[in-house]
Formats: sequence, structure tokens, C-alpha cells
Amino acid sequence: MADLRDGVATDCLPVRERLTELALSTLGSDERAFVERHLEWCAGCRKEAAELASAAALVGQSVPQEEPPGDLEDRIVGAVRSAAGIRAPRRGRMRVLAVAAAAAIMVGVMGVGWGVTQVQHANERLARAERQAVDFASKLHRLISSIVPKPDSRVGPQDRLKEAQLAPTGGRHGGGSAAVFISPVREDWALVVVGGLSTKGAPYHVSLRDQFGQFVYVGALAKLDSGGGGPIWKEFTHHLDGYTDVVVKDRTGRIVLAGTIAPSPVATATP
Amino acid sequence: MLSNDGPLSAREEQTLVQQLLAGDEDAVRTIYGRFGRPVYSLGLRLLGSAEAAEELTQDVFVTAWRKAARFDATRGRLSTWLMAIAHNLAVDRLRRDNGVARPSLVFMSEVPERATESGTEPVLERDVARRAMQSLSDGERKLLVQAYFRGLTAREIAESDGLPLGTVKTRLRTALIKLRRANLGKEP
Repeated sequence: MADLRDGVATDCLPVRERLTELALSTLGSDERAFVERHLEWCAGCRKEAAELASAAALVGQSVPQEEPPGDLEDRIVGAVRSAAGIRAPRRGRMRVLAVAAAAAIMVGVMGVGWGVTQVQHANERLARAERQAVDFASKLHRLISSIVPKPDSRVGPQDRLKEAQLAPTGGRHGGGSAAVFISPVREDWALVVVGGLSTKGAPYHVSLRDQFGQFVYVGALAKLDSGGGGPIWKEFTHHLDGYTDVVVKDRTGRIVLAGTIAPSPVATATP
Repeated sequence: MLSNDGPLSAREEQTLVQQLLAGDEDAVRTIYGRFGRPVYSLGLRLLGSAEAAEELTQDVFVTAWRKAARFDATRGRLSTWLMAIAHNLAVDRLRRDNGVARPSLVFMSEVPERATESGTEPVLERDVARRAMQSLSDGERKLLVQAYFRGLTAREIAESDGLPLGTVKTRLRTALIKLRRANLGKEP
């Protein structure tokens, strides 16, 4: 039987102390995860958490009600149905110029920068990098053609493209590059191409990290191609503006590749 | 399809969320019709621009779809669930933009009313919420506004107001419990 203090199991005490801030969304991510794990199995804490959450929702519901724009409902229907795998007409999904810029970055970085990230046998690795660049460029174009719906689309004047060059950490091998597309009116996306990784470390997990150490997951690379890598692309419904790094972790959670996201020298906007 | 009038039962809310999970258009429109406006209004209040509020509202519905399998109507109402998702996403965004886009402190009683164009605003839930907020003291309301609308942690409030951390935590909890009690019996 669990120890009790003031009628509450001692296991629950650190959780109960945090339920108010959980309801008010002011817990840090680690504490939130700790509390949510406990709530999975503890009905008593779950009940109190639900009561506090319903009270917090009242605070939110008390604000003056404003009329959303008329087309927001249709956009939301489209977004949910798209997420559910049901094709729906969507506006501004992907832009050829932005993707072309991403391709230019990828090919450029892999052709020039890739070799810089390698640490041994420069000539041999450069030749390998060039082969990988050609291989990845081919994959990239296939990927682009599969995700671009309209060849006449354009990026908007506020759209931005950032890039990152991924270098190996801790004496490991491999490398890669990433493009991050950020738009105030369209879905943001991230495209990451990696290579030169060991099959022993698979699956590899790719994430973006912000300055506070919070991650957003881009995807996993379970099977590596002959170049020891492959491309990962993901579209996001929230802004990727605050993310500063791309990190690739191996199956044990160790970071094997990392790179800083910086504005791309390639212009992304057209008038 | 459910109408937009009257409260939903727990069973109806569970069914609606199951339909949302399947991407059912009618379900999305029904949920939006009932909760789109409060979610959007919260986004506007927290994030300060119509563009950000629209983006937040869309994110809330996509996140709700993603988490739909975990929704349990016996544990809480759909409105609570959606508002919690909205608030979490907004606070996360505020933290990311820390120091850039934090909204200014606004007391509920000082928020000017704006007439809606349609004149058919579903005011029931908001009236209940406002009445519940009025049951709080000025001090309790201020604390909740600091935490809920500005995303300040209990520690940050304690430091800014010169209060012991334990006092702030206790007062925040007490305020939420008072709100909950004020609302008891008013839920369907």
C-alpha cells in the first residue's frame, strides 16, 4: 500500500504540486512530461488535473469573442483532411522556386562543403562526396517532383529559405545539408539530406532544435542507401522560425551530425 | 450532423472526435462552428495579431486530429481539451518568441467589449466563464492573468511580485479551484 501524507500518496506529491502549472501551461517540457507520465496511470491525480484544466479553460473562454476570417473554416477543413490523408485542395502548399533554391543549396553544399566536413583521406573522400552529391541530387529532384503540385507556383515576398551544413560530431563520419523554408502564409518545411553514416547506428532521427533546447521532429531514416544516408522532408503547420540547429541522432540517442541553421545566400523571393 | 445549438453530451463529443480522427468534413465543421471562435479569440488575445491567431487556430485543429485517439470525454469536456491545446501551443510560441511578442497585461474587467457583426455570438460559455472570473478577487485574477495570458511561471511571478514561491503556487491553485466551484452545475 502506498505511503500517504495528508491523504495523498507520496508518489503523487511532486505531481500534485505541479498540476496547477500544468493546467496553466507554465511547466517546462521536462516537468510536463514527468507529470503526464504519472497521469497515465494515476486516476486520482488525473481527476484533479482535469478539474484544474477545466478551470483554466474558463480563463481562456472569458476573453471577448472575435470573429475569425470567413475562409478560416475552409482552410482548417483542408488542413485536417490533408493531415488525415484525404486529398483536399490546398493553396500555397509548395513553391517551385523555393524548392529549386533548396536543390541548389543541397547540390552546392554537397559539391563544395561536403568534403570540408570530412576528416580523413581528403582526395578519396572528396571523390566519394562528389559521387554522393550526384546521387543525392538525383534523389532530391525525385523528391521535389513528388511534392510539388504546381509548376507555375511562386514563393511570396516574405518567404525565406535557411540552410544548414551538417558536420559529424565526436570524430564520427558522415555529413549532410538541410534547407528550412519559412513563410508567413504557407506551410513551413524542412528538407534534410544526410550521407556517409554507418548502418550500425540506424535508425537515425532528425530534429530541429531551438535556442531553448526544444526539439521538433523531422523524421527518421531507418534504411540507409548505398551512400549511407538519404533524404527526409517534412511539412509543418507551425513556424520553424525559432529553430537554430539541425541535429541527427543515432539509435542510441547520440548526436552524430549537427549544423547551425543560417539564412541562405540563395534568394528565395520573387516580386 | 449535429446542430450548433445546445450543449453536447459526453457521448456526442466522443463521437465527434472519433469522426475528426477519420478526417470527416462535417465533424471538423461542427467542431469549428462550436469552438473555432473561442480558440481564435484566445489566439488573438495571447499572440496579438490576426495572422498569428489564424495560424494558431489551424494548428489547434490539426493537433486535435493528431491527438484525437487520446481524447476521453469521460475525463473532460471537448471545449476544455481544445482550449488546453490552444493555450499550450500559444504559450510554446510565446516562449519561442520570448521578449519579442509577449502580450501586455490586460485585466478581464478592463477588456473592452466589441460588438460582433453577426449578432449571433454563442455567448453562453463565455458568460459562464466571465461570471466565474468575477468570483475571484482582484489579486487572484491578476495572478491568473500573469500565468495564463503572459505565460509567466509561478517562480517568475514570485520574483516579479516579491512573493514567496509557495504563496504564489497556493494562490494560483486556490484561484483555479474557486473558478471550478463557481462553474459547478453549469456544465452540461
